Formats: sequence, C-alpha cells, structure tokens
Amino acid sequence: MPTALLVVRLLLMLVFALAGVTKLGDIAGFRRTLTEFRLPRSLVAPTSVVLPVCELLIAIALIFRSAAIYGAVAAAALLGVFVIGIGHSLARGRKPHCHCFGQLYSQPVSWKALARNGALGALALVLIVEGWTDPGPSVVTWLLPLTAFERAVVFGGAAGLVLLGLQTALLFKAIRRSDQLLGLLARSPIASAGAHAVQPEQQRIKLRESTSGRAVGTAAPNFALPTLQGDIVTLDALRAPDKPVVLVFSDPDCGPCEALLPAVGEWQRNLAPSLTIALLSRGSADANRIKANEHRVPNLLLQRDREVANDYGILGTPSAVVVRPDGSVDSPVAQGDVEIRELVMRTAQRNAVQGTPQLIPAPDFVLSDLDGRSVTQKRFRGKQTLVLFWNPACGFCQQMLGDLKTWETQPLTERAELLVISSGSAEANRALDLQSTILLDPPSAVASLYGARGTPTAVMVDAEGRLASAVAVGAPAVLRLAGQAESPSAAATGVSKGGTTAGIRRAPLTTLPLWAKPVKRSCVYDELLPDGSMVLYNGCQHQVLTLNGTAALVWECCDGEHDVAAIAAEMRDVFPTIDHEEDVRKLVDQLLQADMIEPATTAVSRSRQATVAAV
Amino acid sequence: MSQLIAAVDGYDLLGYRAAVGATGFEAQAAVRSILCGFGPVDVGPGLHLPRFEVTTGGKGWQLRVDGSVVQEDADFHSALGALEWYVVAAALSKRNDLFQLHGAALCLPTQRAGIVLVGDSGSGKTTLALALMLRGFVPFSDDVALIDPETLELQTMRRAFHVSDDTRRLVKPLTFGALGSEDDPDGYFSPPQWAGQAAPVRWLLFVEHHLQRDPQIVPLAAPEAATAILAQALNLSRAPRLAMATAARLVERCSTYRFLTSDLEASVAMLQQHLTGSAGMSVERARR
Repeated sequence: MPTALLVVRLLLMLVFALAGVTKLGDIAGFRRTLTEFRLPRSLVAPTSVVLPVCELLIAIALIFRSAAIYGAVAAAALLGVFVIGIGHSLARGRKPHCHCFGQLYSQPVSWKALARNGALGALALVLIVEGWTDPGPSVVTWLLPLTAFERAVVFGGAAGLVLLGLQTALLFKAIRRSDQLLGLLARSPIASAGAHAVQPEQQRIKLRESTSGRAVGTAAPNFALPTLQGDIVTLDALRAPDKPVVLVFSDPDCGPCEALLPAVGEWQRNLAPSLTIALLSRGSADANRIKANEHRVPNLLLQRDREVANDYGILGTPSAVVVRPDGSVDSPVAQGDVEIRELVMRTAQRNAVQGTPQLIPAPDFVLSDLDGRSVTQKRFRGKQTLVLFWNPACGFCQQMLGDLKTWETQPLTERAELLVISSGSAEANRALDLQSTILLDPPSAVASLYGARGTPTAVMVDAEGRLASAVAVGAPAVLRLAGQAESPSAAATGVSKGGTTAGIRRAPLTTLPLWAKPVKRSCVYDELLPDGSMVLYNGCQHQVLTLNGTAALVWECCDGEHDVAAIAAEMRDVFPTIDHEEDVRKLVDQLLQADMIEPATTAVSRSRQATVAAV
Repeated sequence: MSQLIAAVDGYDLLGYRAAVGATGFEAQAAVRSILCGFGPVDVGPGLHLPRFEVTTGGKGWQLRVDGSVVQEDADFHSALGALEWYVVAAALSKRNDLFQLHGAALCLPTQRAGIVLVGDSGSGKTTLALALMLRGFVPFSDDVALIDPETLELQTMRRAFHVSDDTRRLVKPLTFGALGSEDDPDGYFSPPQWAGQAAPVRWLLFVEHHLQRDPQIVPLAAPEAATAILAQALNLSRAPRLAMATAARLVERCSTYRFLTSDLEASVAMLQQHLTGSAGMSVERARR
C-alpha cells in the first residue's frame, strides 16, 4: 500500500507541477480563461498568479512524507473547485477553454475534462483516507535505498517525461511560426506585384494544396469568443437568414494580416447588408484593440490562442472561410490577401440583393425563314412560343433532334409553338426535317440578344411577347422547358422529363438582355445610409432591400443611359482590380430579379404610352 | 335587439377631431376611459365631425362610421377594440407629416432622451415598456411611436396601452399591486403619467423574444437597422420619401440594437443598465 500511495502522490505531483509551470508561462492566456469562467474582474489578476503558485506548492508538498497529507488535502480542494467551475459552465451551456496546462494543452471544457478532474480528485481523496497516518515514504527516502541502475531508470523516466513536455511545447511554437511564414508567403511580392494575371493563380493552387480546411458542405464548428468589449459572441449569433458569415483569421504579429485590416474594417462597414464579416484574432486584447482602432475594425473576436483556427483546419494567417446561413462551410480556405479579397467580393456580389422576377418584352428581330420570308418578333403575339437556338453542326443538337421531333408531333393545343433560330445554312436546316418554322441567324446575333450562349439553348416567350423563362442551356434543360407547356396527354408520350401539366409556368427571368440599358423603376425610392450603403423601397411591391457600397454605385449608374459595359467602365475608375463586367452583370441581374430596375426601352415605351393615353 | 342612439363625445387625436360614442352607460364609460388621453372638443351640430359609434344591433354590437355599419361583433370588448382601431387609424392616416413606427416610445425620467422599442406584434414591446415604466421611465406612446422627421423628436399620443392577460401576468411580479385602475376596461391600461415634453430618439431597440437564453443587446449595422426600421414603418407606403429619409436619419443619429429578451426581470435590468449607463445616469437616480 505505501508504494501505491507513493505512486498516487507522484502522479498528482507531476500533474500539479506541470499545470503550475505551464500556467505561469502563459499568465495572459490564463487570465482570459479566468475571465471566460466569469470570475469577477477584480479577482482575475491575483488568481492568475496565486493559483499556479498553489499548484506548485501542492506538487512540492506531495514530495515529502511529512507534508504529503496537506498537499493531498489542498489538491482535493483545488480539484473540487475545478470540478464545480467546469460543471457550472457546462450546465449553462458555456465551454470556455480549460487552459489546464497553459499553451501545452488547452481544449474547451467538456464532460471529459470534468471526469478527468473528478478522477484526480478521487485519487487525492484516496490519498487522504488511506494515507492519513502513513502517506507512504518520502520520495527522497524512497530513492535512497535504490541501486544505481534503479535510480537511473527513475531519473531517466522523469527526464523523458520532461523532455516530452518540452518537445510538445517546441512543436507548438514551430506550428505558430509556420503560420506566420505561410502568412508572409501569401503576402509575398509574387502575389502582390505586377504579374497579376498568372502568378496569384499559381500561388493559390500551391497554398490550397497545403491547406486542410474543412470540406465544403460540412458543418462549421461553432465557437464562443469574447469581443474586445468582453461580450461573448457565438457563430450561431453571427448567422442570419440569407446572410453568409465570412470568418477572417488574423494575428496581431502578422504583417500581411495588418495590411488586410483596413479592408476588413471597410467590409464590416459596407458589406453588412449582404454578409457578416467576423475578424478572429488572437493575442492580447490590448494589442488587438490598438490595431482595431487604428484600422477602424469595429468587430473583432479574440481567440485564446488558435483554437477556432484549428477547428477550421486553418494553417496560416491571414485566412478566411465562408459559413452559409444554415451553418455549413461554403468555401475552401482562402489564404493570403488576394484570395481573401476575391472570396469576400465574390460572396458579397452573390448576396448583394434578393428579390422577385418580372417579365420583360422579347427583344426585337427581323430574320428570314428557309423560304426567304421575313419574320419578326411580332410572330410571338397570341401564342406561347419556345424559341430554340440551334446549330445543325452541333452534336448535342443532333442528339436531341429525335426527342424534339416527337414533341413536335403533339397538337399545338397541347404544347407551345416551336420557333427555331439556327446558325447553319438553309440546306443544312432543311435537312433537319422539322415541321416548325426555322429562321436563319448565321452570325448568332439574335441568340446574343436573348442571352443565349451556345447551342442547344431555348427560352420561352409568352402569348404577350414577353420573355417568360430563363435561358435553358443544354438538351435536358431545353426539353424540360418544352415540357412545361404540355397537357397530361402529351406528358404521357415520355418526351418531357419533369414537365408540368399546368400549362406554361412563368419561370423567373434572371438575365437582362445584352442590348438593354437598365433604369430604376419609377416606384422605387432610394436613400443613402451613413456608412455608404443604400436602402431601396419598391413602392409597387412593398419590398425593402439594402445594397452595399459597391452595389449602390452600380445602382446610381442605372439611369437608362448606361448599359452593363458602360457601368463596368464607370466602376473600373473606382475599383481598378476587379472583373467588373461580369460582376456588374450579376448585380444588374439581381436588381432585375428584385424588380428594382427594368430595361430602359421598356420604360421609354411605357412613358410614351402614358403620354399618348394622356393626350 | 333594439338599437339605441349612441351618445358621442368629441376628441382631438393629434389634430384629428372626431365624435366617438356608444350606446348604454357602461359602454359609453368604457369608450371614455380608453380615449381619456385625448382632449375633449365640441361636437356641436354645425361642426360635422366624423362620427364613430358602437351601437347595439346585428350580431350584438355594431361599429358605425358616419352611420354606416363597418363591423359587427357578438361581444362588446371586440367592438370596443374595433372602434379604437378605426378612430386611431383615421387619425394616423392624417398625420403623414410624422414618421410612424410600430413600437412603444418612452424617455429616461431625467433626460430628454427617447427610447423606442420596436418589434413585431407579440415580441414583448408593451411588456418591456410597462416594466420600464415601473422603474421610472415615462411613456410617449404605445404601439405607434410618432417621430418628427427633422428633429427626430417623439410626440406624445395618450392612447391607452393594450395589455393582454399574458402581459399582466408577466408584469405582476414587478408591481406591488394591480396594474392600472378600476376604470380601465379589460385589456387596457391608461398610464397615470405621460411624457410632457418632446424628446429626440436616442435609442432604437428591435425586440425579439428568445426563450432559454440570456438577454442580449447586439448593435446593428446601418443597413440592418434601416431595413428593420422600414419593416416596422406604418406610413412607408403612404409617405415613402419621408419614411426613407427619417429611417436614414434615425440610423445616423441613434444607437440601434437588436434586443434579445428572455426572463423579463433580467431583460429589463440589463436594458436599464445599458440605457442609464450609456446616459451617464445611475439606476438609483433613474428609479427616483
């Protein structure tokens, strides 16, 4: 029994010595832990020193036979306090990091940590009960009678344990250092200097290969971190419907991170309508407060060390990852300045506005049919028409020709009329042997007007000559769109896949025709907000939406005189490094879907009609 | 059921003058009780004021506006509610010079600093407002906050609070007696004191009730705040330009928060600490 008690004492001694030393080595981190455990602020500073010193004293007391029982009582009491503290936090749903062994080992408290502390407490109690009269020999006394070999084994084992601890600490430091190196690499001249076209892509690929971030679509780990003001913020609290969260991981000692901070501040202020930007830093609150104030970053969350970054598989700073509103990961890890900026802009553009679609007139055209007769868009009036863009030389078109012919055999009362606009010669198109009208459009100019890129593509035009669907691309989508006009009997032929039996369904129009110049709808009111963002109110549909600062600039350009290319040119003056035409087009399409703008020609014709009516 | 002639009194609701009344002594007393905050005006025969009255007839009670029946109810309480709604809605529809926000408005007892608790119906605005009033805050209005678009000053509208049984139950532990007086009809509470002087809005709190969580006060970014304000603006469609401009001004000049409430006492204590702390005033001083 005395030997067993000695082993228990040695175990407790090692645990307390390690805990005390590592906590004293990271007092700042331990203070954060005590704050997270909701210790009164006045007690945090003294406790952060007194508690590890007590742990060391307990470890020393456990060495000597005469003091061992006092050490055991103190150990049991301290472990009891730990168990109560951890249990209280868990019961309230909080999981602060335990900081049990300083930077050597720190995990969010869990039932496992509670059980571990309970088990150690139980050992201390056993020591008190069984060793009250004889707590076992003194460690020194126990060592004296040993042979030289036995002593060597004992000291070797102890030295091994110490070395293991040191190695772990060094490994920890090495990982931190590698983070900083990766951050520097991401900001290196290769990424930021002149040759933008190729090298950032190469760099991105290299960095992504070294990244082990969480897979897209998997659940994003939740966290609870303090702000600089001391409030606790969780990922759940950051998430909002239709609004992704961008987590930007930073470090106060990392130069590239500091270079990115002004942009982060700007994003937090200007992109709030479309996404939430959370900056997750580490280090002391004071160091971060200085940087946050300097670069006007209002929302900063403090990791104790890198615990959240670890959860997300982040290896370096600055890095960023997007979390969807449903709490799943939406992007691979973006590393470095360039990737992060791209990720944020891409996400913001995608979520700049939301809304509902409207129908606009089909673009005008005059084309010849296979017999040389002129046909215009007036042909659409009174009939639902599937406009199919075709190329006789296109293999995908040929593959769907059989299905198309079968569909064409149905009576016109059960399907939409088909109008084929083809780019081939009259002979090649005549060889298709289609019954429907085929119009020749060798340069594919009309296809471009309708936003159709490639073949086979199709769009539905309703009986009033308005575009009633998005452009369907590819044979399956075209046949699906064709099937939307089928009657039940037609559906039984098996031509369509997933078609509806309720006549033409007005699929949302999502694309502004290429020729169109967007103009604000007359019933839309706008108001600039103090942070540069803008709020819009559609008085016709009673819909409110907000635009971030960039989208607000695009909105201002929707004056009926600028087309998308012209707006992109205006934007290029403000943001020289972004691919404007594509981004502007997406944004304009989103505004169109939200019914905030309309093609200028429609507006002009409406105003003319109104004038005529007034006269 | 025979129809009796209603006795009407004249009221001035924010400059909108109307004759309002009911048939029967008790019904008339109930109408007077809920509209007692609005100044009496003459209803002489030559004035031709719009006339709102609850009379017996039809299913039990009929609400008549200028003689035409607009609603029938089996019980008087529903008819009274409809009468109040029609009168107040008519008055508000004439005041598109003011920004009307769906919420309860109060001010700090010792300062000219207004607080508006905004939120959906059932979010707990009135309950919070009552709890704050028990701690010394003074009400401007319940249900509709009237805001001057230029100065952002809150205007007083002495309309009785709508107090449901749930609200009474929640507020009861905070009071030392019954809420309101015996004169208040069921479901209404007329505060004994109203704000006497206009005060600019300083805080806008969007109230949401979250069960099983600690109360939280979360700052809102400008776009979120603007969207939330316009979502609760009552005259946005009637006066869109005024509403948009006022919303932007509120976002610029006020502190806007999402207030996630849970336990009433903890929520009120937190809110009071937040408001009085940031106003530089002690809780004790606020209570006095």
